[in-house]
Amino acid sequence: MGNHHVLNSHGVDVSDQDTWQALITSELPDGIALTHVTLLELLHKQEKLDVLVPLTDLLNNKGTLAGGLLQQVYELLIQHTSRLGIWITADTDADALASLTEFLLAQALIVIHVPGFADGRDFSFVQTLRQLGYTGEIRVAGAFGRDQIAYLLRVGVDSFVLSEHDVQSDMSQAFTALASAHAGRSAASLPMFAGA
Amino acid sequence: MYQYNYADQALVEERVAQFRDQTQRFLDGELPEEQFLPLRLQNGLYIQRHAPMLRIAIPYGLLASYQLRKLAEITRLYDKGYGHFTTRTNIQLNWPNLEDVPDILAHLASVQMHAIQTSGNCIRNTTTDPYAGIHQEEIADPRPYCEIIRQWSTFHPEFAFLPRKFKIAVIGTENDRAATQVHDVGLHIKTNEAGEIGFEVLVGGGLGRTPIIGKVINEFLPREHLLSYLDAILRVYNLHGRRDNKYKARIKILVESMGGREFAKLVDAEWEAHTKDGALTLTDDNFATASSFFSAPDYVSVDALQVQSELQSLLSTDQDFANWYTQNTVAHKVAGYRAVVISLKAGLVDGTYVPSGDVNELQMDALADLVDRYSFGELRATYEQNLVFADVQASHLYELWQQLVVLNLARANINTLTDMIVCPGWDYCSLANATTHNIAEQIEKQFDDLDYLYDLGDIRLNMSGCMNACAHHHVGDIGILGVDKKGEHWYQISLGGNSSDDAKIGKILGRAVPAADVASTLQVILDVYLELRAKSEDDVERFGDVINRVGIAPFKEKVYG
Repeated sequence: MGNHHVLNSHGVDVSDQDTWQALITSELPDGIALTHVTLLELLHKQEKLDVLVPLTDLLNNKGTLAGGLLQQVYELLIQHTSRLGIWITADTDADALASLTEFLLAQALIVIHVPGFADGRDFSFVQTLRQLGYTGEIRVAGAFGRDQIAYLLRVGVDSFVLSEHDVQSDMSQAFTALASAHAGRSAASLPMFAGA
Repeated sequence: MYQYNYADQALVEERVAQFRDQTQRFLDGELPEEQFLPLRLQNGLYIQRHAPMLRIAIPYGLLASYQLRKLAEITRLYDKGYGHFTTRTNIQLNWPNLEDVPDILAHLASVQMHAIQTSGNCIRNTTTDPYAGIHQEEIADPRPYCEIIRQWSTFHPEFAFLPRKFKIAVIGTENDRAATQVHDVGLHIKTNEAGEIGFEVLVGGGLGRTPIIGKVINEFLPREHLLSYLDAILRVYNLHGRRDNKYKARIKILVESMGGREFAKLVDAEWEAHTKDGALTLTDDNFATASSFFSAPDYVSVDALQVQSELQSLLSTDQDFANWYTQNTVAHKVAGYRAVVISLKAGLVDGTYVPSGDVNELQMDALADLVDRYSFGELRATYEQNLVFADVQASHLYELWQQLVVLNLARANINTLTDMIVCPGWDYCSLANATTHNIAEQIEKQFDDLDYLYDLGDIRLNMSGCMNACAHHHVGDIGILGVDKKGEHWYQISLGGNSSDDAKIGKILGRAVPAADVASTLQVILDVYLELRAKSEDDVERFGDVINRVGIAPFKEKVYG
């Protein structure tokens, strides 16, 4: 696991205040959270943590929330955590998200993992989550690039997980690029109609 | 013509600054190649066989004279003194240096031009009818809608990293001069029974390795929903389009795999649930604002009868002018005016072949002066790689023609066999499998008799140097595709394609022919056509109609038999 940093929407490094830990599972990608915790560690800890779990592990093969043992584990997680969030991959079925609306809205943090720079599904996932009414924090992690941050901010991302290497250079431009661009959400914001 | 306001201008300048930073970081080794690639493509920059290629946007083909002068200046300063117009009405520079590109973009920004989203997996330049706003049969002028789409798609944050490129074309007449049916989205302006304006929406057309005609997914989309509906189409595509195989990633593959009806259902579900009637809904005020930029120029009223009689006497005394008038001018909705097509298919000039769509810097400057004098300072680029002066007084045609002749821009071959759409091919493009310019030159030499070409009538000949089909060979009456066979360039011929309202994909005639035999093979094909066509005193069966009637078998027999 490489060292990572969390930057907020202003480009400020908020790693020190970030309390999220990713639950270690078989397919946990690098950099979903700054630290990790096993289920066993979590159950033995006195204090309650902020924990991220993979959405796919909570679903059955129909794409709905699983019952049985998985449900029991999830309830156990609820008892042993302060806040719960989920992380999703770009391969998540976007249509299935709509059937999980209530569950999604209850999450304190949703992390979207980007598999590659050219894979822009995350942009539409963010939009889909916002359309479903999710107002909590959305964070992107994975192989996105600093040159995509300006667009990610516009579609509604709140925070970013970046590598040690990324944050070594001055990133401020990445957060302020194309300041005059519209967000794609309203006709009134187009230059011609904005009356600028 | 749309004039940038403060926000537009700021945007273009911010983009120049952003790309300058990205280029510098790439040159310093800080920005990895796999990230710089999509970023430079979205700024129009390809790396080609000899040098980078910069594709400059000409939104829906509209170009002001001062912009053309700036292009001429840029080609002098940073390139080899010429540019190449493409089927998507953009212009390409073939010889810029990578380090100079940010400076070129800064020059362009000074005249409200840019190379934004002319390449890459994003929403590209929207194209339209070169006769928008001047055609008698037009339901409504498509340009205000094109401009709305341009503003919406420019820097749309959600749709900049799509599975593959995305092209939109809009037309306002039944007759399709923008090849809308082979676009990712084609929009046909319609009116409903109440007289309201809307769009027939086609989706999933495209050429390349898998040529497909677009499917209608909405017969009448009221115009206020234009952006919210496009938004839904793009979101469905972005989330569901294939990303595992570059050659299966266009929206046409997605639509084909599930069927047009199923795709339409997904779009409707997305649209109705989330964006319909939301903030993307356009208002009548919005349309009025957009239309105000495309108001008619100050046409002068003329004594049409007198103009016509003067013109008639010139036409009857000067056969060259008459040929040009017949082939290269087009009816205008305003009496006393015509549109003029500037042929960028000069063919052989002093024995040297001039590639289709190429214009040199002297011609650019001269055209800028001419369009200022004769057509309200505004040019249009066409799908067929020509230019149009849209608003020329009929009484000025003769003097305009005389000046175009001097510039080698008055070849009277529009819609004839030599009005070829030709991609740059192997000589420039690193994707190409075969050369195209040498074949076009061979065709020019074989078919240099204008009277013969006029007798053949309208024939669209499109030639691409590879299966990516930039020159739309699938939809030419005659299509030529360059292929590589063990290091040699061969040419596969197809017949019966069409990009207009009756759009269809041509049928492959048979095995490819060697480079030396292309023109002679065309001669055989044209001989068969002349033999088979029905001809009466006032009607001659067109090449494409003969293929429709008899199929390709008689042609095949003569070529390979």
